[in-house]
Amino acid sequence: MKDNKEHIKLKAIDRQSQAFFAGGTFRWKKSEAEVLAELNRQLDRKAAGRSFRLSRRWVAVAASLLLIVGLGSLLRFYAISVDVSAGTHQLVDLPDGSTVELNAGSSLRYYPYWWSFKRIVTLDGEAFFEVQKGRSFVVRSLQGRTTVLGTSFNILARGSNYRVTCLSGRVGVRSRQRQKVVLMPGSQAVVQPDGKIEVRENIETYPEISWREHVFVFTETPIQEVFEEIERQYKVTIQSTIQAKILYTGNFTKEEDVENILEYVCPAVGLKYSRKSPTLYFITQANE
Amino acid sequence: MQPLTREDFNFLFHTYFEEVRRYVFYRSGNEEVATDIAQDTFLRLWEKREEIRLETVKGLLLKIASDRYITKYHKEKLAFNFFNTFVPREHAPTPEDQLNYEELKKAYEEALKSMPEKQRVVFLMNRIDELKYREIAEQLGLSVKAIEKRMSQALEHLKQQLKDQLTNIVLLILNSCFFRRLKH
Repeated sequence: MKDNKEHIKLKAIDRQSQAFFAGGTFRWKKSEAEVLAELNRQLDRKAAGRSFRLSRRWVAVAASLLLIVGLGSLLRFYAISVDVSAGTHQLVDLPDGSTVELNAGSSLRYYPYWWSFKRIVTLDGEAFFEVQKGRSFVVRSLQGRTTVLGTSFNILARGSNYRVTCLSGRVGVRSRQRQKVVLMPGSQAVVQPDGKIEVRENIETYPEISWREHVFVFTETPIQEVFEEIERQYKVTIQSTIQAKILYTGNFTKEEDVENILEYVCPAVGLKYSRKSPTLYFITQANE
Repeated sequence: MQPLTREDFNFLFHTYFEEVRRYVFYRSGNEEVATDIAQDTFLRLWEKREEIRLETVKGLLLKIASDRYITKYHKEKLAFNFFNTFVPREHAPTPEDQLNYEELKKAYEEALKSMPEKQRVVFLMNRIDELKYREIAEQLGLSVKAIEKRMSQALEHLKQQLKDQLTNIVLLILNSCFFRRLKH
């Protein structure tokens, strides 16, 4: 009986709600026409702002292009850097069998995967090159650029110094100011602070490359540069208060102990050294 | 598959916009939201114009609208104002009936508001748009069984909610039956 009553109620609701909702109207505040007009404006703006459409195919094409460019630049710009700290020398083999011997405190950078297209290295410091014959071989430095075909030569690129010594073959040198010279064996290019290149011919080349055998030869070299060289070769710090322009001429062979070297160099130019720690030395005038 | 042209787009708009807007309105009971979502839905349709199949576009539209509505508004507490927008057919000649009618409308508003969304959509598509269960099932991508179930749940819900009105309703119906019989 109760079920029946509930059933009647349900039936009543069913019929009533049908009657109540059927045939009603929607009074929208924003008409369909208004919405369409707005949509068309939006679509026009889009079409104007973006004249090409990114369909899936184009996205794919763009992605592959990007991949190729990415791979290409990886090959082009992937670089190997060799940093030689003070106290050591290092021999670097380049992909074509050319070799670079790096002096202490120097760094070299090259692009191994691009090597077959262009032989180019970047050098800061001092190095001796033996270059296999082939297409041009370029050494870039802050101070200048040296181009060769296949030779051996030494480059010193430190601070404001840029000195290239040709031992065999032909060596082209260009300063940052774009002055160019070509060196024959036994000649040397020295880039002056103003960018002019001074060529010295028929020089004795041994002092330029003696560093390879740990022999250091200085000819009228500012004493500060000599100390810098000692710092690099021995990985020590040398502090000096010397302002006067002292030129040093002499040579020495790297020995076990840096003090032996300082002992040898200082008295010759009227200086003395004192040891503060195994890696720190002070230089003062001998008569102080 | 041809991409849609602007004419195609306008045609589809005229054909389906109202239905999409109603669908969101049934779900939200909020006119602004319904219009906003429906407009947005057609914008999306244009963006997808390369991949539209006309046979399934109606279902697609409702699907887009549903997704948009869920991501944009579902978590918000929306004002439910069904009868601000929907106006039932006038059928109350006497002032007394008018009073009953206002009360009834209020009762329905409350009942619809508290009705679960899924039931409400099915119920209103059936009552207002007068769609058959099969048609509703197709458009919402559901089975006819599911529609039947939601519909009976909706009626059950109304029965509970409209308790106070029910006596009147039953009387009214009995009356009309009685008068109809007299006429014959």
